[in-house]
Amino acid sequence: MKKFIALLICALMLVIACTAVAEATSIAIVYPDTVDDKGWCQSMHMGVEKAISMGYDIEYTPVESVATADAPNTLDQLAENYDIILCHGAMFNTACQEIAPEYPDQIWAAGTTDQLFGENVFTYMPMSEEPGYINGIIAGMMTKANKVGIVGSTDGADSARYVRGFVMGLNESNPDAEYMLSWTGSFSDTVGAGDIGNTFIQAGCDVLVGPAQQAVGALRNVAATEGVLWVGQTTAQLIDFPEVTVAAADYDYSAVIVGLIDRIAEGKTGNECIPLNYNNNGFVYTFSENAELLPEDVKNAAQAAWDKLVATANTLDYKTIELK
Amino acid sequence: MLDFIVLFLTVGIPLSSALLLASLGETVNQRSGVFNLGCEGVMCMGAFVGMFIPFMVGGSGPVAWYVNVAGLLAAAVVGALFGLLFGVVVIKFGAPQGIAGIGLQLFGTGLAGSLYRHFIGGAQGVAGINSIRIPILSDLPIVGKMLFSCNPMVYVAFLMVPVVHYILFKTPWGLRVRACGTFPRAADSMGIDVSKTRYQALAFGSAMAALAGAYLSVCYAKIFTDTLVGGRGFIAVALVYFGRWSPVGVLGGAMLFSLAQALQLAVQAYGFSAFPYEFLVMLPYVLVVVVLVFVGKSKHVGPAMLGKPFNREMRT
Repeated sequence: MKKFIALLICALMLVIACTAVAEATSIAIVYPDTVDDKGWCQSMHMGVEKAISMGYDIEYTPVESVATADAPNTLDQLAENYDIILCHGAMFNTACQEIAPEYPDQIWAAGTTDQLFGENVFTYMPMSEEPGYINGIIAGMMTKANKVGIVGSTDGADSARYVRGFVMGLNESNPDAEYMLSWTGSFSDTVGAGDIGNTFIQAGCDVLVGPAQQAVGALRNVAATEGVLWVGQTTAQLIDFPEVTVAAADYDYSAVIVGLIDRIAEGKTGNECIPLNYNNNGFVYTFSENAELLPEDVKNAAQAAWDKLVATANTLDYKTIELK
Repeated sequence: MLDFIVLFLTVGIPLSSALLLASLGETVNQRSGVFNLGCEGVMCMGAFVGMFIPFMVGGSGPVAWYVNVAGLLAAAVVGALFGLLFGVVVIKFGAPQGIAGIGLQLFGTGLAGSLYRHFIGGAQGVAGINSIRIPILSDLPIVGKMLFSCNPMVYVAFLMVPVVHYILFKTPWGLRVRACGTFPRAADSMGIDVSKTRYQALAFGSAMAALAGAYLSVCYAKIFTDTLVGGRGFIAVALVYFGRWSPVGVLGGAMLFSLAQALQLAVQAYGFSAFPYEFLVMLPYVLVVVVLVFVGKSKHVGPAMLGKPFNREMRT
């Protein structure tokens, strides 16, 4: 009888243990903006939803519009209730580095950075020079005025990589093309991006690009000006402004979420940077279906560049580019 | 070089419009003796309401011109109501104007963002009001592009300078407003209802601020985001000091700030600067601070009773 009871208890413990393993991974993601911003935050939000649709058992809580100053308190509260806390934005890096060591049982993730933040922190870094490069090739081939405008946000993190990748692509496809570059000093200065877009258009640029969610301010000026085109950074821009957007790159953050969960399943807890590139399907690229807007030769050249990036990771040495 | 100058003037003039409208409104507020630091919040509400009506009617697609105008007018009405609300707090209850203004700023910004998320959501835009080319004049070399190919609201903003000047300095109501800001007890002894005049000034000033916000969302960026106004409300308040409470002075301040902003963009675009871009982005703000230091030494003083509540039962 005693053996039977012991066996029963063991079986019960096993069932409980299995149930615990089968529990969904709870992830809280801290966003600097809203998850429907058609840019930075929405990309991550869609990435999580994609990971869930791929069969990953995730209990997901978005925490939107968190100010940088409120980040430490927010992270403190989330740490009590979630398995993984992901800080989506370089403005939260300091808070994450500060709070994560206080909660060693939680897994943390911070992006974008390629630095390592500690034993229980993963970082992630979009290799944005790759979509920038393809966009540069398209812009170089599309400009008739040989003048292209780059609406910059800040010269740091993935934005800096994007701009340098873009210049690489532009130089490669059209060495005669000049570029103009201005920075707003922010990621969310929609009006400032509009000012820059207007400046470029008045200066004769006929193709414009811009990383960050603020770029929609410049895109609206492009849409209101005849003969000026836009090479987009998110698919939403292609959907909303199909008459001027020739193509759009997009982040697919499911690569980060899937990479994160797979690494945890392998027993890793952090101290590693998860890259986001074409090679690991971290980016997608969409061309305009309007053949008049995007000629076949331009599309083929961009497709060839894309294929090259998919085949091999880390092929672009963006650091060699010196900006004006 | 001429191209460069034309470029930064062409970009700078439309940039000044939002600041000009908001600063002119704040000038009237302050002339009446009420200091409205909540200008930023009122601008945010104006930006939301201004784009809400055209968006509800036609989504992101084009709508009839009068729908956009209705959006601008609705923004002005909501702005006036916010001004009256602020008036109740600082005139009726005598709350400190600085703190109440910060409250209004937070309230307006937060409410606009929440309403936007609830009713619209996402980074949605409107077709809005586009720039117009004035026949013949817009084809003139140099000035054609600069002065005669602007958004209609740019002309309205510049037109408001002589209008506000006329109202403040040539009408009985303007005289009452200035009296209430300079010597309210004397105004009261002359039979002027100081509180009523200040309510009226606040309603007018806040309507102008809301119109400035609506200009950003309907005519300029043609989109609403929580960060759309981006501190312009505070700059507008600073420009009133810069302009020494005069509409013409405010025009000078708005133009100086906007041209400095356009200049830094053009310098970046042409790659003229040897300095990091962060210094260029700071340039307009540093310029305003520096100029304010010098303007502060001017003998021209502002409304004597600015920021001070008036209670006719009290001796002071």
